[in-house]
Amino acid sequence: MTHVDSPAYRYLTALLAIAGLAVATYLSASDLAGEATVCIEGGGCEAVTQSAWGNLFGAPVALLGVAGYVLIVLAAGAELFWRDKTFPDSTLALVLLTAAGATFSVYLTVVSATQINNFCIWCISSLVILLLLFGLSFYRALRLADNAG
Amino acid sequence: MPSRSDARQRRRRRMAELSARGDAGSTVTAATASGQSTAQPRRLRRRDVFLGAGAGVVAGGLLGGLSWFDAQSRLTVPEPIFAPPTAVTPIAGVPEPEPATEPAEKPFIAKSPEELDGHRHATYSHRLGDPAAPLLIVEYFSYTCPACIAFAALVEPQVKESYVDTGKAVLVARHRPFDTNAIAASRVSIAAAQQDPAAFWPMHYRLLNEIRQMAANGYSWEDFEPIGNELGLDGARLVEDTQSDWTSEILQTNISEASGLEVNATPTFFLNGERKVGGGKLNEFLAALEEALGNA
Repeated sequence: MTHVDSPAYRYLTALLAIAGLAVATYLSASDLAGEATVCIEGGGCEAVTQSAWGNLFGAPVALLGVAGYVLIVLAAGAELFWRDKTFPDSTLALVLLTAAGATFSVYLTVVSATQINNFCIWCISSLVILLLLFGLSFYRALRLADNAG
Repeated sequence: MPSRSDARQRRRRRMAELSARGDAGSTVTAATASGQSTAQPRRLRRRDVFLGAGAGVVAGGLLGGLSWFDAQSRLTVPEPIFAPPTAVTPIAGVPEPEPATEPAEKPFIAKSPEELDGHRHATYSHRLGDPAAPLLIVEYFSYTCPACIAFAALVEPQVKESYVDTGKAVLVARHRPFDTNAIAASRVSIAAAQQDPAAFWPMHYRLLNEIRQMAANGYSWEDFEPIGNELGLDGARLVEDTQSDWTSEILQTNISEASGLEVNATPTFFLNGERKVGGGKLNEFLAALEEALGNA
C-alpha cells in the first residue's frame, strides 16, 4: 500500500485540485459568456447558474468556485513543492478548504434538487472532486497525525 | 559557497531525521540567543485535523446560509411559482364561478417524427408560415436555453426571410422547458396564443430576450401583465390564463411529445421529420434546410 505521505498522494491531490479548477473555470466562462451549443436535459447548468442561487451578492457562484479551487491548488502545491516549509499549515489548510468546499457543494446540490428541480453535470463533477479531495486530505492528515503520535 | 547538491544533501538528512523520529512534519526554525537556528519539528495533532475539518464544514455551511438568504431576497414570488392552483372553498351565499370553458378539440401530439406533419394544420400548434410549404421545420426550444436564444437572434431571422416568408418552409415552435423559469415563460406564451395565435410570436421573442434577466432579478406572474398589454393583449387575462388547466394541458402535451420523440436537448429540430440537434451556425443550418428541401 502506498504510504500516506508518499508523493503519489500529494500528486493525486494536486491533480484533483487542478481538475476542479478547470471545471469551475469552464462553468464560469460559459456562464459569463452565456454560450452553449445545446442545452442538455439532466445537464441543466443554465437552469442552475441562471437561478436565484446562481449568484452570491452579485457574483456568479461558479466564480466563487474558481476562487476556492485556486486556494486549494495553492495549498496542494505547497504540500507538493514546499512541504518542509509549510507543514502542517498546508495540510490543515487543505482539510479546511476542502471541507468548506464540499459542504457548500452539497448545499448547492440539495438546492438544485429541491428548489431548481435540475442538475448541472459540471456542478456534480465539482461535488465529486471536492468530496474526493476532502476524503483524501482528511484521511491523510489523520494518518500523519497518528504517525507523529 | 555551498553548492546546490550540498543543500539537497542537508535537506535529505533533515527529512531522514524527522522520519526516523516518526514525525511526518517538517520544521520551523527558532532563533537562539547565539543567533543560530535550531530545528524544532512542528507536529500535526488529530485534534487540529478535526478542528480544521469542523471549521471548514462551518464555513461551508455559513456560505450556504448566505447564499440561501441572498437567493430569497431576489425571489419575490411569495409562493412557489409552479404551485398547482389551490382548490377554492365555496363560501355560503356566494355563487361559485363558472368553470372555464375549454375548447373541445384536444391539442395534437405527434407520436413519431413522421407524425409531426400533423402540426401543419393542428389548431393549437404555434406556427409561422404557409402550412402547405414543402419544408416543415419543428423546433423544440426552452426559453432559458442560451443556444435557443442564440438561434432566435442569429439564425432564425434569416430562416424567416429566405424560407418562411417565401413559402418554402413553415416553422413550428414546440415547448421543451428544462427548468421552472422556462416553464413559467412557456405558460405565458401559451396564454398569449390563447388570446391570439399570432400573438405567440412577439411574446415568444420577448420572453427569449427577457426571461433570464427577469429570473435573475426575481419576478411574479403579475410582471407579465404589462408585457401583455404592450403587445396589444389583455394583460390581466394573460396572467390569469397562465394558471389555467388548459394552459397546463397544452404545455404538458408539448413536453409529452418531446419526451416521446426523445428530445433531450434544446434546440432540437425536425426538418421534414429528420432530427437535427442544435442550430449551429447560420451557414450550417441553411445548408441543412437546403438538403431537407432537396429531399422533399
